[in-house]
Amino acid sequence: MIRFIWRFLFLVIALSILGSIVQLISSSRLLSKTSGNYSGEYERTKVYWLTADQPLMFEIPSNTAKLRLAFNQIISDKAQSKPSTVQWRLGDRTGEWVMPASNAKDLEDPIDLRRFFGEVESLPATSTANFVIEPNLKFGNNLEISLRGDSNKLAIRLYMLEQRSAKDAQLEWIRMSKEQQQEVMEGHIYPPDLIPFDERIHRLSYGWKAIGPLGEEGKEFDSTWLFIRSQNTGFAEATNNAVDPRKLLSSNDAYTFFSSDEDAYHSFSCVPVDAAALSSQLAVRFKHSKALTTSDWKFNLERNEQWELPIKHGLYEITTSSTCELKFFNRNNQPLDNPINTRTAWGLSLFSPVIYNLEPVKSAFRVIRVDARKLISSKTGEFEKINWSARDENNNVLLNDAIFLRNDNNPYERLLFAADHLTITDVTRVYLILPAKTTKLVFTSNRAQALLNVYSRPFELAYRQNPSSQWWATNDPLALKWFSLKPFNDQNNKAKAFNIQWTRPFPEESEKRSSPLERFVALNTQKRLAKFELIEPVQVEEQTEASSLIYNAVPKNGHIIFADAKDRMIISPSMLFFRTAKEPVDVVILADNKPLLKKRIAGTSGKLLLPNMKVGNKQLTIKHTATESIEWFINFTQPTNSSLNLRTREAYSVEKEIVFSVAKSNQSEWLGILYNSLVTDRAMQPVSLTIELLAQHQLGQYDRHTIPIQKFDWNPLERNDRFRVLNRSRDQLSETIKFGFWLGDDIAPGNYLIRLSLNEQQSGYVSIGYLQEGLERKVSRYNEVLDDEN
Amino acid sequence: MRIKQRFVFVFLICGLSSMAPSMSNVAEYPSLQLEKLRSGEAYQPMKLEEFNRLLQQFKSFSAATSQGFESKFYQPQFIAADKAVQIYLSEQALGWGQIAFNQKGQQNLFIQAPHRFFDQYTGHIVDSWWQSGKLGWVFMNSVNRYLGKNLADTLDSDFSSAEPNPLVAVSTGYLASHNNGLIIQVHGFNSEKRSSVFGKKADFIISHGQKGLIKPTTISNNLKQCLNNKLNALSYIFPNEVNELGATKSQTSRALAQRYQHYIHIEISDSMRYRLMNNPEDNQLMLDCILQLTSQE
Repeated sequence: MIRFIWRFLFLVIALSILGSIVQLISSSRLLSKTSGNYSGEYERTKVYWLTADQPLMFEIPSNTAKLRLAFNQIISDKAQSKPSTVQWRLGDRTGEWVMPASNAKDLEDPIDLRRFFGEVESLPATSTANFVIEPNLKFGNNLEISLRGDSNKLAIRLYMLEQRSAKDAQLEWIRMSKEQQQEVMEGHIYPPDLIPFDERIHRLSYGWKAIGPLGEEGKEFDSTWLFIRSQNTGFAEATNNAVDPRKLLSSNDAYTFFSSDEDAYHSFSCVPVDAAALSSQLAVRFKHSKALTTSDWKFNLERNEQWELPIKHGLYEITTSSTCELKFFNRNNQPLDNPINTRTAWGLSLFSPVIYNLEPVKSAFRVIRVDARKLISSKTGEFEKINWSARDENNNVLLNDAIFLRNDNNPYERLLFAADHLTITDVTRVYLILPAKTTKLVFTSNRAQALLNVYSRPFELAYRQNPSSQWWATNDPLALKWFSLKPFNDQNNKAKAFNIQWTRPFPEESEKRSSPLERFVALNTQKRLAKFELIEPVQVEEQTEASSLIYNAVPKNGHIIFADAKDRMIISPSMLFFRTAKEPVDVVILADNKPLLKKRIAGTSGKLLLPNMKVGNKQLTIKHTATESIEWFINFTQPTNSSLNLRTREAYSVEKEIVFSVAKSNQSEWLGILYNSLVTDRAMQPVSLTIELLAQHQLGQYDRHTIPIQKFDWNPLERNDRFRVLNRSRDQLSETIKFGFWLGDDIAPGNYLIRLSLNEQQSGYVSIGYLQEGLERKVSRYNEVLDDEN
Repeated sequence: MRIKQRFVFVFLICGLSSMAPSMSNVAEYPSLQLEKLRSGEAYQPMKLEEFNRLLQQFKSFSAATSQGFESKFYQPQFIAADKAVQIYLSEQALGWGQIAFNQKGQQNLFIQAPHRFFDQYTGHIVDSWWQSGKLGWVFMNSVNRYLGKNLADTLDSDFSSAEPNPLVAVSTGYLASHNNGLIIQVHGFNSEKRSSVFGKKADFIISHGQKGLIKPTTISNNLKQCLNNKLNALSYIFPNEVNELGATKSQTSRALAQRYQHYIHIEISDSMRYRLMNNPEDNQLMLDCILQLTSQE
């Protein structure tokens, strides 16, 4: 027993001695790092010399996501040195990089004097050139680097981007001390305990690690230390400040993000990683959705410039000519995590139905929007659907249907923190009109795996927006406020959450704004309303053909050419006149010196119908007794963009409200509503116009949803003398406001009443048109996210 | 500064995540699964006198099961000591299917899967119902419906179209001795091949095999409601809601036209079969819906 105790004691003593020796060694190594010939402002890295007769070979580990080679060369005193060519081979892939010649002028610039080989202030080194290779390790994992014969020798370091599994990263996180965790998550706004799991795992999943070359036994490599000033040295110089692969923006990508007023994002920088950018300057393009302006910057590799985001709220898009590392900063120049637009979606699979509990509603039915994306894995087929059922409180099915999932790829969305083989398809969007007594919405799938987003919106919630003078600019039913619902979770039922990262194309790229042809209809009103002819100035293009709708100013010489877009030989032209006096005057119109029309006109504006005429050249003479000048316009003549062109359209006068009926003949139909406010002498007041559809929606699943009440608010634009109502001299109109109204497939074809009402003290003129068949607007599919409440 | 640390962990994984299934049921109700084709398997067309003989034999067997099924066309595959469970398989040279009987199961219910090989998973689905011990009567084919199609003299091995055939003999024999009996035939279809919107959407198509039914019967409606409620499925009734896959040309439908209320033909979509096969709980829910039909009567 005593022998055992002695042995144990001996073991303990031996271990403690060993421990202290190890500690001594390690501390002395630590000391050697900080002491010596260089102060704390330099960091040193081991580099290997690459010469023409000594190629270097590296073994690349299989968990390498990216390889980065950093090169430096000695700054030569000679005014002219040659560029160096590096050749590399990885498996069956080969490549070549040309390093520009080091420039003796570098020596003159004190700012650039911050890298040295061997010792500080001994052998000056050029700035670092970086090359990134994405290895495909299927065909071999040795990287061979060689230098072409006549090149100068180069110092080389190789870093691998280690990609670790989430599990490994999680273990590492757990094993870290609080301080270490804090260090890893430096710059994060939250303390480590509060950082979301996915975020910290993701940060730990990648890391740059230096790799040394492979050598023969006993053979030493020609290596040295590279000293780099640690302050303002840029990302590429030190291993601990290496490129973050998640922030790399390649020339093929566009980085799109929303900047909101609450965000701290103040400026950004994009530092190139590829030395090829040396030869051609890096161009960063920067766009903002609201400003609709594009800015271009060009800068040199070494400059780590930051640009301020000029507008706080809106969508930004950043593109670059060469791969660079995108970084964002707050007002105090502190780095921030890159803004990522994510949306949470819930996973639906064979074993996990997704259930939503719905609160009761007062309206007759409720509207639900479902966005489903198919999760593609190796098992999925093309033809797949998911089932939904609306159930009452006894769990009986009230309504059910299936949603067939689209197979198209959406390049603007991807799954975050998911296995690489999982991808998602473009969104399949349907609207469900459900009975009011629905308390539960159940989604199941037989085989397909899908991600679900379910939104609701109170049925009577008015759709309020600012109209624009542009027809399609803002009238997008998708820009509605929808409220995201979270699925019901309990022990048996737990929907798995997935994160979808999204960017979106800019409107001008995704939307084809073909201007639709308005087909104006005579309104079927309950009350007999007076119909007026409204005159508005139009911009004509060169190709515009002569028509009955467009009026052109009669030229001073009276020479006109009658023509017709429909190639008719006989036309019925008409003339418009505008003048200031109201007193009646006699007018005689002669064509080719033959009397055409003799009429007495009164009022400040009006229309004269000419007799039928043949198309062709005519010499028009207008004689009148008025003292003041009269403006004359005529249709069926070729419009020219130099003269003033007018267009007439039928409109109804609205005071307070009108009710009219529209015929819905297609599955879904756009109504175009054109409104001109009546300008009075009183101050301009904001206009509020409400359109209400008096129709019964049908229960079921639909592709387009009709918003029954839409409210438009705007401030009328300044009065424009050119907008006039024919034969109503006193009425001056504001510019035309256009808005659209969808009649979706949730309303059966038929005749429906629409009530159009104005706020008090407002009156104006309204025209209703249908979008002509065959022309459909390509709606941007990504607009809804602005109002996501995830 | 990012700290790189490597920790080596040793995990002791107590991998008892799934318990072994209870073996008692398996012993009591042997699986009805068959290899796709036994060696020497063929389909022998049925003669009329053979049809009549089988009809009589099955009629007397289903009326008095304790006597056993005495037929030279079928061989006992499994007989429990108390004869409470009996399984018969046709002679190899005949290929006339497999018949299973369980005294403890629902006697008024006769489940049939006449295309178990071609209609993927229908055999598995019905077999798992059988193994739950709740079924009284089961019939399944023993050769593929297309066996013999490639021969010079084309041979019709399909119980739906061959005339006369053992399935019709067994079905009519069963209903002769069970006045309240309900025959449920389980089939499978490919959604992509369907021509109608409802056919493409459907998980189940329920039919009595008759064209002219003006409105859905209570029994088909009950089955539809139950499947929709429990499986969140989309079930449609032929011919009222969907106009295809009604099994109106099937020999069984024709033979049982007078008693169509006692015959239900269920077509299950490929994806739903996949789900039932892979999700035993859902498979049991479907069985519950079927059992409910006869317990109500």
